[in-house]
Amino acid sequence: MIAYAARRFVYGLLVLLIVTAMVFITLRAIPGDVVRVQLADSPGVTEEQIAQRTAELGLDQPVYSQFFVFMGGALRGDLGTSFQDNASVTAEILHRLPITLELGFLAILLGVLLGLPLGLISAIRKNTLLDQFLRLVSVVGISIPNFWLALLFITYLSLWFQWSPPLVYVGPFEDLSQNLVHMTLPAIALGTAAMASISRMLRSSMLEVMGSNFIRTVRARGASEWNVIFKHAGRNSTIPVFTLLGLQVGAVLGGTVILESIFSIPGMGSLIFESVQFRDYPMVLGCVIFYGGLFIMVNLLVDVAYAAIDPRIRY
Amino acid sequence: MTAPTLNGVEREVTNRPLVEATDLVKHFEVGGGFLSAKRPPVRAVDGVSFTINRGETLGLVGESGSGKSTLGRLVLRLIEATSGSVTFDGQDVLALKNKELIALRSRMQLIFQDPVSSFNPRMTIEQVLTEPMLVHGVGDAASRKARCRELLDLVSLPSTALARYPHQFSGGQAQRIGIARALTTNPDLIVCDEAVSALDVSVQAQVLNLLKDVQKELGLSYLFIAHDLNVVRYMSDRICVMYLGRLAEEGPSDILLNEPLHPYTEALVDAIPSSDTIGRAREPLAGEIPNPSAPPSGCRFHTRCPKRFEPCDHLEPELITVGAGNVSCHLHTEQAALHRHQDPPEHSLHGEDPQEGATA
Amino acid sequence: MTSRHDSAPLLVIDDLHVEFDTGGSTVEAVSGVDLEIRAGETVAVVGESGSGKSVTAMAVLQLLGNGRISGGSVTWDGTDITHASNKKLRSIRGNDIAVVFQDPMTSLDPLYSIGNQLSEALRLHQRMSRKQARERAIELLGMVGIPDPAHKVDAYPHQLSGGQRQRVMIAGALACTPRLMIADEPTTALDVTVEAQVLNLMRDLQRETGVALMLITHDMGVVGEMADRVVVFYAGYVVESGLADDVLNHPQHPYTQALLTAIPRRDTPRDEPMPAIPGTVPGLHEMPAGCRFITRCPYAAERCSEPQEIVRLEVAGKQRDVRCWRADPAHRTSATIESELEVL
Repeated sequence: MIAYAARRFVYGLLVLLIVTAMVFITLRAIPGDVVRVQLADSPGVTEEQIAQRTAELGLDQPVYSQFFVFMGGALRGDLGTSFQDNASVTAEILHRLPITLELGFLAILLGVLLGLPLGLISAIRKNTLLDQFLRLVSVVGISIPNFWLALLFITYLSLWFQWSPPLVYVGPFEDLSQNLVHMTLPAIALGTAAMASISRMLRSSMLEVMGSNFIRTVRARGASEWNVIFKHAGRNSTIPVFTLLGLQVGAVLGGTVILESIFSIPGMGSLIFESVQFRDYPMVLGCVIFYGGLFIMVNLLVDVAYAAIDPRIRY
Repeated sequence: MTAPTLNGVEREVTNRPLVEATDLVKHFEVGGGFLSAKRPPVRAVDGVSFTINRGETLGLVGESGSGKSTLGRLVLRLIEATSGSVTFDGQDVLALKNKELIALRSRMQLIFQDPVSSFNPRMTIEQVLTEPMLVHGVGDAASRKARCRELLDLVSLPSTALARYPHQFSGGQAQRIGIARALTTNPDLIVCDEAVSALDVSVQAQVLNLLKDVQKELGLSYLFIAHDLNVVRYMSDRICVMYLGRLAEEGPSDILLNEPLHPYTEALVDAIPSSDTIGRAREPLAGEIPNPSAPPSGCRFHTRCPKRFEPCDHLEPELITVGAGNVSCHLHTEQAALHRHQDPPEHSLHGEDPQEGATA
Repeated sequence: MTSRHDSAPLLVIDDLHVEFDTGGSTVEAVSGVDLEIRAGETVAVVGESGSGKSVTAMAVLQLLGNGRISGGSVTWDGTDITHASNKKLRSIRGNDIAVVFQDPMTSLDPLYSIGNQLSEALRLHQRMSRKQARERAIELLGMVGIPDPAHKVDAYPHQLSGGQRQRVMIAGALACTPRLMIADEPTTALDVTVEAQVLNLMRDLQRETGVALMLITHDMGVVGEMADRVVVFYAGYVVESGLADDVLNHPQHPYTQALLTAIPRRDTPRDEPMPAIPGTVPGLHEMPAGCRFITRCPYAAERCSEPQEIVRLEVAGKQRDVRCWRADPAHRTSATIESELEVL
């Protein structure tokens, strides 16, 4: 098990390296010169100044040597400095990471806490009006893009209640209630798709398990429906839900990029959004590495969870 | 041997066996991917030789895990053998190039346990039957259609079945279609893999009769794989009994069932539930078939054998001829050795007990 | 009808009808089944797939999925349980009547240890503590011949072979010392040598515990080895029942006769065709109004298209039912009676 986790970890690092290289190269392939974009607003910039700035940023070197310089730093935990203000990329990301983690966690929590019971009810009340309704809700939930949902929230809340989300972020340790007021709407917008897909997945896997032979055995020994559903069918049908959860974490992380910008939450999402606009290569790259690392780690945890749930899985 | 005719095609008649399999081995590799440790291979078939003559049915019995289905697929080269050879009508099947293999495949077909799952559910029966002819480029549209009707007639289904879909047929009817499809390309050999096992008794008898009728009419050879010993006996001229990837015994079906040589064959025959006797005379064989990736040393059956003795756990018995059949069991190698001791001495036997030599 | 030595029946199924919903329409899978099981006896229920034999057994415990009892009654130990509450039924399931299913590979929950699954019924019906239940589970595993039961109690189903899993299923069924065990094709998925072991085990355990056995099977060989009485199903009803010996050796219904000759035996001549039954079982939507075997019966006559009543005979003091008018002595020619007498 530990050997497996270690192997998976190494494998994850490898994937991260490939992702980093791909992003590194694509960023440099984007048309438009970073220095010209940065200096566009300053009047009277000479070609000399531009060349000087380019050399400062190391952008006059060939791409592969830039990459090795970057990797050399990355291995020491130094992801370089921002093109915008020469601040340390690592420090800036570490500062913003907890905010994004909180948002992502709230979104997933919401998806699980609502998705599981809805899926369960849907499965138990199979083909009733309630089930039809819940299935409709989840189809809608999966289909609506999260940013559009967020815009709907903002528009209608301000139209009906003259309420709009706060513009200044307050950390949870400063004022938890204020923080939650800020985080709830983006978390709902982000978590809706997770909730809908979890409930759909649980419904179908639950129905499949309920029709299986061992459930018949459990019923034949006189067990109550409670026992059938929660002890046997429940545990068996959560296995595919875990796989889905790993993938949903990816979707939620991706969603933070736009939602944090919409709700002016100063997390990694808005950081990457700003940095892309500014062609701040080191910052974008740093964010991508962190996003990728998070996703890989969560899926490693999912695999470990499989082994905890299912005795047939031994690594 | 008579010369069977099919669609006016005269078949060359020789005394050469249709199929000769020599020392076939199939080891399935498990694990060994990027993230998993390599484990010992599953030795599904581990050195099996047999022949099938023209017009003959060779039965293949054994419990699950004995390697009988794998063996059937090796003969058709649906899976690649690890080593050994198969010749079909003089051609080395395992050496054939892709194109030649496809050409040869028209002469050997497979019938499965569950025919419906092997049909494309969106194809009509006519399409199901025509497909093999298209693959092998047989005839034109009209002659193919005529052939379909002829085949359905052969398996006693009305030609109205042509326009229908696989799911519209019962298990027995679907197996008739499976047989018809196997016959489309005029094969010489059909491998029947548990072809009647899923059928109800009343329908099973119909399909067995059909298989025999078709064989008589077309001079086919069958490799008949099943776990029901009585069904295999009824169908087969000779039977091979497999245990854990190896041949335990081979012989003419009636002799094999009535006077089994190998203790495993004996146990199989004894274990058949019979409506003639209330209660069972003998204790059934203990234990279950061991893991084929770690077969027991010596004779593979020795862990369950009620008659095992000194050499069985370390010396693997060779297949030797006893009477009309062949058996790999030390009980018989011992006897053969004794006979040889009385006769003018020949070269030493593999099965001879080293302990015996020491004590004598 | 029955000799006075016989005890009162444990289970009485009377004119049972079972319906299933199949996407809009309903079909009747069981149409008027009568069946009795007495304490300690083995009754084999034979028939082909779709004959209603398993459905009848599951109807006893009302484990019918999307089906329901649409007529007739089920009486357990003198109490009509046809309309019993779920609570009452749960107190019978696993406690008085236990079930062993066909496929041991899929009939155990893969996520729980076998000890955990064996304990469930004990904790439920006998209010045992976790520890007591575990002790009893180990005892049960030993009883069904699982080697090293104190260790195997913590094993998971996938760590056991097919034969061992079926032994565990039997141990689970016997956990609360039920009075009836329903075994639905218990050996069909097993290899023949393992089948022989499991049949032996069931026979031994039955002798020890006195449990009655309702053995559902399609294999006449299994019937011959195990059963005291046999009930033959065809197309949703019973065509023949009686002492196993008598039914197997002197089948009276044309279906039973044909079924018995259609099985290859060790001495079946290999150069003759098998005496097969022509045609197929009629579908549930197209049942003939009269005898349901009429479409395949070699003796079909005009009278056969009328609904067939059960002809109740007595052989060696035991009840013998045949659902065919030909079996009625009143309709026999003197010649058939004579030949019948000779046989008896």
